[in-house]
Amino acid sequence: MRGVLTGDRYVWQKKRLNRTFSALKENKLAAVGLIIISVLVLMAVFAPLITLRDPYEQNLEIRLTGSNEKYLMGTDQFGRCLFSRLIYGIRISLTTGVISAVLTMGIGVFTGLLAGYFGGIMDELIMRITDIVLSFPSIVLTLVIAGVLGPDLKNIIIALAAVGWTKYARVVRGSVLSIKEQEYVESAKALGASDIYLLCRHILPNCMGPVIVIMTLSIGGAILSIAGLSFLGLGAQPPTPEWGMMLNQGVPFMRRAPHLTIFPGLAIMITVLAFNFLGDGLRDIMDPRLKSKLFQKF
Amino acid sequence: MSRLTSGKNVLLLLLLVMCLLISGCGGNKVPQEKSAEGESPQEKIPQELVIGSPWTPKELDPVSAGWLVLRIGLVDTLVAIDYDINLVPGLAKSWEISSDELEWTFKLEEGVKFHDGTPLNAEAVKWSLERVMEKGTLFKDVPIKSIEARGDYTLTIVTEELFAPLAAILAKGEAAPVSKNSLDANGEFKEIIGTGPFMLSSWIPDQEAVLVRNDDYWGKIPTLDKVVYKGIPEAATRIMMLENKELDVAQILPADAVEQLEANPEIKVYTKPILRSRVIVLNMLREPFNDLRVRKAVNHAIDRESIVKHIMAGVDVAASGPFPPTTPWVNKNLQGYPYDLEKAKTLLAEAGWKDSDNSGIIKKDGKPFTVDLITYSTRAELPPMAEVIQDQLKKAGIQVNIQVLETGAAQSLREEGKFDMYLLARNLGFAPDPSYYLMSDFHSKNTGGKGWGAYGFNNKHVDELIELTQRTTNLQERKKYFAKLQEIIVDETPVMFLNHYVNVTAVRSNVQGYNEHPTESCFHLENIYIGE
Repeated sequence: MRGVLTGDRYVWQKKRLNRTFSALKENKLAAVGLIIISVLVLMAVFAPLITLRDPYEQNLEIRLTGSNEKYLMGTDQFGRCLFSRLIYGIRISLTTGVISAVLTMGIGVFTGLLAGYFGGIMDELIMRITDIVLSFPSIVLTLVIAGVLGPDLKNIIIALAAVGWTKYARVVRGSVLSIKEQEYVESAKALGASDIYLLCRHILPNCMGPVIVIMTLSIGGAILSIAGLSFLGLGAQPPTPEWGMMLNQGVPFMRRAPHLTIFPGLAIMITVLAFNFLGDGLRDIMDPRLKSKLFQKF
Repeated sequence: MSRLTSGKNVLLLLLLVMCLLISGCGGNKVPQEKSAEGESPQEKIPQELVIGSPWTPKELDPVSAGWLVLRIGLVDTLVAIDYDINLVPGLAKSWEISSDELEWTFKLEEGVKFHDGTPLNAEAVKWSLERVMEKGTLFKDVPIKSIEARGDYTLTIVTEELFAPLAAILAKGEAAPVSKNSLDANGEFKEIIGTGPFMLSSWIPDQEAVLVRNDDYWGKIPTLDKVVYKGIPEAATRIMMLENKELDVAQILPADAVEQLEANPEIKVYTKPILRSRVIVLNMLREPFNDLRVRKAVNHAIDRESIVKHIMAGVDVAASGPFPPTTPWVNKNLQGYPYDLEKAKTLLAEAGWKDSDNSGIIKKDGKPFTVDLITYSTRAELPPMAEVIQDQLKKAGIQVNIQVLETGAAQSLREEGKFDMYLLARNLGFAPDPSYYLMSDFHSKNTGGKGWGAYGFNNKHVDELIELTQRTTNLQERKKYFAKLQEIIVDETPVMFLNHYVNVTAVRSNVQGYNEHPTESCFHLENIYIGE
C-alpha cells in the first residue's frame, strides 16, 4: 500500500486528500463548519466593504442606542457602530486564533519529533517537561503567564502556546515511535538518508493526520481562550474591537443595552462552533476505525 | 488501572471530607454569634450590615492602612473631621498652640479604653505616634522635634518650626492610636486594637473584615451589632449583590448606574460630592510631556464637559483646577483649559509636532506622538474615560495606547516612571488642609517616585509657597497662597484636572443614617441602623 518511492507517495497522498474532501462533503456538520468559516474569512477580508462605518469612530451623543436603520446592531457605550466592530473583530479573532493554534502546533510537533525520533535523554527530558506542564491546570498556568507578561494579545498567544504544545508533543512522539520502525523508513535509512531528510520526507508527513485534527479543534478553543482572557482584561486593550473585550465592556450595560453582550457572545459562539464542527468532522474522517466504515460508501 | 482509580476515589473522598470539615467549622461560628445577638433584647430587627467596597482589606495596621481602619470605625483619631470639613475634637477634646507657635498641646478625652481594656492616656498616644514616625510616611514632611506626655491626659508635640497643618494631619487614619498589645513580642504588628466604635471579630485578608460593636465605646455607642466589610473590586458585581440582598451598602458605583438603581424601590441612591478629583498625571521626565506647550495642548484637546455628560451621566463636575468649587480654599478665578482643538493643534505645531505625512498622527523628527496611558479598573468609570480621551486626543493627532491594569501594577509602573499619562482618582482631603495635599503631590521632594501626584515636577516657586502655607496660621494669608499655588499648578499643568468626584453609593432602603463623608475619611457606622 505505501510506496517507498517518493513519486508514489505523492500520488497516494493526493488520493487521500481527495478522499478526505469527498468525505467532508458527506459529513454534513463538517461541511456546515467549513462553509461558516469560509463566510467568516470572506467577511474579514472584505470588512471595509461590508461595513459602512469606522469601527473606532466615537459619537457620545448616540451612545447605547438599539438597532435602527442607521446602525444595524445599534451602538456601544461610546456611540460606535457595533456591527462594524463585530465584523472587524472577525479579523482579530480569526488571526489570533489561527496564529496561536499554528504556533502551538509548531512547538508541539517539533518537540514531539525530537523526542520520538532521537529518544534517549532527549525523549526523557522533553516528556518530563510535558508532564510538568500537564500537571498544572492549563487555565491557571495560562493566566499566570499572561499576567506576568502583561496585558496584550501577543502575550496571550505566547501564553497559550506555552501551555498548549504538550498535547501535540505527546501525539507526535507516539506516531514517530511507530513510524520510525516502519520498513520504508528503515530502507531509506539504509540508502543513506540523513536524519533531517527522514524526518521531513517520511516521518513528519505521516504523523500530520491527527495533528491537523487536533489543530482544527484547537483553533476554536484558542479563539475562546483569547476571548476569555480578553474578557478578564489580560488580552486586547481598548479600542481594539476584540469580541471578549467587547463582551466585558458590555457587562455594566446588560440591562440598558443587552445588545452589547448578546452580539459579541453570539459571534464567539458561532465561530467556535464552526471550528469544532469542522474539527469533529475531520476526526471522524481520519479516524482509522471509522474510516473503514465511511469508505465503504466509495 | 483499577488501583489507580481507587486511589483517585480516596483522594476525592478526602477532599470531600475536608470540604465538610471546613464548612462545618464555619457553621459552628454562626450559632455563637446568633446567641450573642440575642442578648440585646431591645432590637427585633437584626442589626447587621454588609458593606461592599472596591477596596479589599489587605492590611489592618493603621500605619499602612490607616484610611481603611478609620473608615470602618476600628480606630479614632485625636482630631476628627465633621461633615462640613472642619476639624473637631476626637480623642483630643481640645488643643492649643503655644505663643511661640512651636508647641501643640492636646488635652485627651479621659476614661477612653482600647478594645483590650488598657487605658488611652498621653503615654499610649505618644507611643503610638512615635511608632508612626518610625514606620510610617505620614510625618515625613512634618518637622516634629519631640512628642511629650506632660501629664496623664496632656500630650505635647514640639515642632522645629511652625507647622500649621499639624492638627489636620493628625486627623488621618495613620495617626490613630493603637494599644501596645497590637504588636507581638518582636514589635511586629499582630492585630488591630484601637479605640473605635467597632472591634475586629475576624478578618480574611483581601476579602472581608467582620466587626462587632464596642459596647464600652466612649462616644456614641453604635446600634449595629455586626458589620461585614467586603472587598469586591467589580462594580457590576457590587450592584448585583446589592440587588440580591447580599449587600446592604454598595459603595463607589459608576454614575452610569444611578438611573437603573433609582428605578428599584428597594434601593436608595446617595450622590455626594467628595474631596476627590479624577486627574491625569503627566510624566514630565521624558518626551513629549517635558514640554509645557505639549502639556497645554493636551489639556485643550480634552473635552471635559462631554466626558462628564456622557460617561458620568452628568453627575460629576468638570474641573478647571484641583479643588471642587464647594471647598472654601478653591481659586474661583481659574479658567482651566476649555476644549479647543484648534488651539491644541497650534500649540503642538509650535512645539514641533506636525502631521508631515498626512497619516493622522503628528510627528517630530520622524518620531510619532505615541503615548502610554495607564489606569486601573477598580474605579469603573476610569477605563471608559480613558477610551474617550484616547479618541479625543486622536483628533489632535496623538496616538494613545491604553493599559488597564490592576491598581498595584498601575501604581508600580508610575513609580518606575514607565508611563506617559496616568489616569487616576485622587483624594484631596484625607487631611483636611490643602497644605498636606499640595505638599505630597506637588513639592519637588515628593514628585520623584512614589505617590499619586505630579511626576517629575520641580518648581522652586511652588516649593516655597507650599512651605509658606505650612508656616502661616493666618487664614486669609494662607488662602492667598493657596490661590496662587492653584494658579501656577494649573498653568504649569504637571497634572491635568478632569473632573470632581461625586460619589455614588447605593444602600438597601432599610438602611438608615448612611451619610457619605465628604473627605471619605470615615463611614460613621455608629450612626447607621437597620430600620423597617
